[in-house]
Amino acid sequence: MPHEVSVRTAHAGLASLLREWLDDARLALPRPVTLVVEVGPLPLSPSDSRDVFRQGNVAIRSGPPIHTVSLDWEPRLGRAVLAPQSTAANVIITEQGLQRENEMLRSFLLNVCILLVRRVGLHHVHAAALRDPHGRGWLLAGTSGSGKSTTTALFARHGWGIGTDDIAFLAEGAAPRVTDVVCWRERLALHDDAVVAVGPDGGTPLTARRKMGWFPEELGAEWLSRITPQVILFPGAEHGDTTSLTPIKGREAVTRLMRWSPWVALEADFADEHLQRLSQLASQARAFEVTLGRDLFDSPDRLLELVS
Amino acid sequence: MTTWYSRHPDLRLTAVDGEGVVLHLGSRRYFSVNETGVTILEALASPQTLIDLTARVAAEYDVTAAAAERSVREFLDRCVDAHLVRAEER
Repeated sequence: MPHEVSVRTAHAGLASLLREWLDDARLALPRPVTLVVEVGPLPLSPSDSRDVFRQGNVAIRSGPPIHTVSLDWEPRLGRAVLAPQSTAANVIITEQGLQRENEMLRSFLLNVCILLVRRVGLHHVHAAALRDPHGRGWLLAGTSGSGKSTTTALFARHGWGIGTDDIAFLAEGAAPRVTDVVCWRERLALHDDAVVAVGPDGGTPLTARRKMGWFPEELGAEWLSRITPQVILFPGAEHGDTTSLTPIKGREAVTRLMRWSPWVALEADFADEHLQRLSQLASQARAFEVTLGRDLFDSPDRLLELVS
Repeated sequence: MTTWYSRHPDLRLTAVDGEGVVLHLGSRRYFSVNETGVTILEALASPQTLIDLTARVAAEYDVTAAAAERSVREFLDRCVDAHLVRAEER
């Protein structure tokens, strides 16, 4: 029976919001982890001279000499601290931070969750995870704007199973010496031009992100909690008329995966396992650099043909 | 005095299809290394001299001792510059 991210907070409104967010995500964990959240002013903290690893407005500090991990949501909107090996994160969110709901969830608390679930063996990578109609798992790793969400939404409408369009976690596989992707379910978020190209009806306005969103099931797809990748694609920022693939070697695939999984360099206690997951993934799957072309909208099977 | 080489404690190494990727946790930089580099870095889990490493590379690959020494020395110099490997005189 999988576990989940549990929440402890005395703030009723926040408790409800976080429960809904995490229930939607359906992240299946091998052991439970907990967000312990207070709402109030941030206490003065001693100065922390450790190097900063920055994710948007969140400054993350880890490693010696303190050994806790701290996440500061700037400018002084929230703070989280994770003690070494602890499966609970102590979080403070200011009243001002509460007003920025989208940023609080998708930036600050998502980063807290990413570092928290690392403690139970799940390692985040910015990637979409899908399963094709032949049952093969696919991972699309790349920056925002590279076409991950558009491709995921397109394939959702053509018989593929969908795990996530961006929030993927590498984990020990169900089979020996295999790395699986455990998926965070959220709405596939499309810009206006992608909505026109993919053509779905309905959708939920994601106002703060200026996009429209659909859960995979709303596009007719099955949502998948876990996928075993056999194909890895690294979409480039450029898009052309024609889709094309270039095979890449295992070590190149690992370094590219590291670019989209930069948490690998945080917290020495977990770095070995994280690196092993990336390496295992590159060994078990064929990897390609891909230019996603407009031809996919007319011929979604084109990618299957190129890979087979 | 002999120079002993060892891995920096912040170094993490993983091998893929015989080649490798090295991550330095302190600087968060990562590097690709070829098969010979993986052999050397794996050996450096414990301190080694240039002579030890040259003998290992010459035995494992079809190269002359002189070519092996040149290759090992160049690789070690680059690794020391990148703080992947420590050199200690004893």
